[in-house]
Amino acid sequence: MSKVPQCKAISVRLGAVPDSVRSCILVVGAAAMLCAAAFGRADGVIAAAEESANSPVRSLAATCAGCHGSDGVGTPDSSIPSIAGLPPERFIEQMRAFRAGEGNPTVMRQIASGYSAEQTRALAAYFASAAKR
Amino acid sequence: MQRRDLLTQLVAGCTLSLAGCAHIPSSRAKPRVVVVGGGYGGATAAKYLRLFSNAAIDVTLVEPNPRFVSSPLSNRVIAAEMSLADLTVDYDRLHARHGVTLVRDRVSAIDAGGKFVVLAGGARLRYDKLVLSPGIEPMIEPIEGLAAAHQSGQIVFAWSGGAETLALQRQLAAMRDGGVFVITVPESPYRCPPAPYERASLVAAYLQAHKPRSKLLVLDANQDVTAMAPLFKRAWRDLYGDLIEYRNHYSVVGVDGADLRLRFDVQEDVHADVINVLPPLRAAGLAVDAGLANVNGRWCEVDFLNFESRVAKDVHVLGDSIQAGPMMPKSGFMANAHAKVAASAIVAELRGDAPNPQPMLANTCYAFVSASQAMHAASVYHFVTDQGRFEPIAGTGGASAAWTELEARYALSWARNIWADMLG
Repeated sequence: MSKVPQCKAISVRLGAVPDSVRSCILVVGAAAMLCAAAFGRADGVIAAAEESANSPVRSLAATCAGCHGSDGVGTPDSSIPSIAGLPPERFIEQMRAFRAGEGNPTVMRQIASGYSAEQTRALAAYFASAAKR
Repeated sequence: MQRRDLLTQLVAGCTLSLAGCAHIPSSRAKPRVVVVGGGYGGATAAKYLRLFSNAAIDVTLVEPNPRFVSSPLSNRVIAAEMSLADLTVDYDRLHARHGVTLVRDRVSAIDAGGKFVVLAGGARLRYDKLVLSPGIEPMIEPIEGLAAAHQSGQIVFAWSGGAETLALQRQLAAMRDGGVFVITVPESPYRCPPAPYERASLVAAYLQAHKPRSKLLVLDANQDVTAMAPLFKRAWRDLYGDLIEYRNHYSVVGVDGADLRLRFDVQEDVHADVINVLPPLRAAGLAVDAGLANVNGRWCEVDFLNFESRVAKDVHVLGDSIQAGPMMPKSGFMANAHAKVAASAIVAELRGDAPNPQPMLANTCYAFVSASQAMHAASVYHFVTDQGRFEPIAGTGGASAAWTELEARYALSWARNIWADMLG
């Protein structure tokens, strides 16, 4: 018997067990993931769970964090606004206004010009959901 | 084979022999990254390696100081506008929130072949990837008399925050009204291009308020102010009149600490009441001793896609110690940006993936021209593949139209937010 079907058998049975038992199995599953990481090291694989953690948009958003704080959340009383949770359309409109020099954009006049329309939309979507992370 | 398929099989394999798996020491279960240096680059790298890997990498930060003390804003401490405590942040959240292992020690040697570092305390730390953010050190030897004058405390640099910042503050406070305060600026590149000129501005503001008959002399080895030149010169004229005198092409070749005298390659000697020498800089001794400073023995050349040293595999170098591209200032903000690019690339490489081929950096340098007014220069950079380096994106580089109180508030908030981004 191959190993993969046995793994599937475990997951199929999961649906029918009480929560307490299920969490036990999940703990075992987590241990198994750790094992996967251990064995996978030789192939340069650390785990799949962090794939989205290292997404290109997260790296792009990290360029904003140097002023606006990690994931767009600034410190309390910061004069620089937090951008986490901004509605995407507001984010995109603000960036347009900064590029155009409207209002008093100060540093954002230079910074906003560095991001393409596509990047701006990706950042808007990222920060709109950032507050929930 | 797809990674997920591989992983599924590995998970399945593990469930068959879970008992055996459980005995694998955790130190072997995860890749290990050792980060050396807890400044703007290193602290950021440690945190973002954990964030970008979803905690799947063991990260150890080696830093001898018990707390982070910022160099940015330290010119305000010299001018008695802030205290060193205002610039000090604990490292403990890196551990408590992000699971970074903190080792309070100094690295004495790097064995890139054996993939371990040796701590001053004697212990060895094995790594899969090493991140060095060692900062800079002054090149004292070329300036005759400087070693002795610095050793005695007669002449301080105050270029890496901390104790020398306070020493210079005391020298300024003790100077007689009517005295001459000299700041010398080394040839570019050096850490934080606008900082000598910000220091001049803030010291001038202090003198104007407390010792108005005094004079501030900026003696610059460069042909002009190296950052925000028109703004600084206008600010000095408008705010301080004759109090600040700027002279270009002044290269210090010798000092006399007892007599407080400076000697230059061409010009007449200058005598002063306080002399603040900013000596030429190079990558910190750890990087130089490890043979990583392959550019003129001063700076470390890296592959900008992942910040890996050009001379040592799996050794990544960040911050002020690298040979930066043109228009890439040596700043804390840039070190923070380097660290995020490197962290993302290292996480990808430890997964067996290629790094992001189009990384970006952003930089803002704020500079105070008085206690309550500041201005900025900023750029966004993209990786230019055929050049193999970062360049400013056309149309992004630029500076303030003028110094304002609003930008001073932004500058103070920037510091608190980036400290939280590194350490919070």
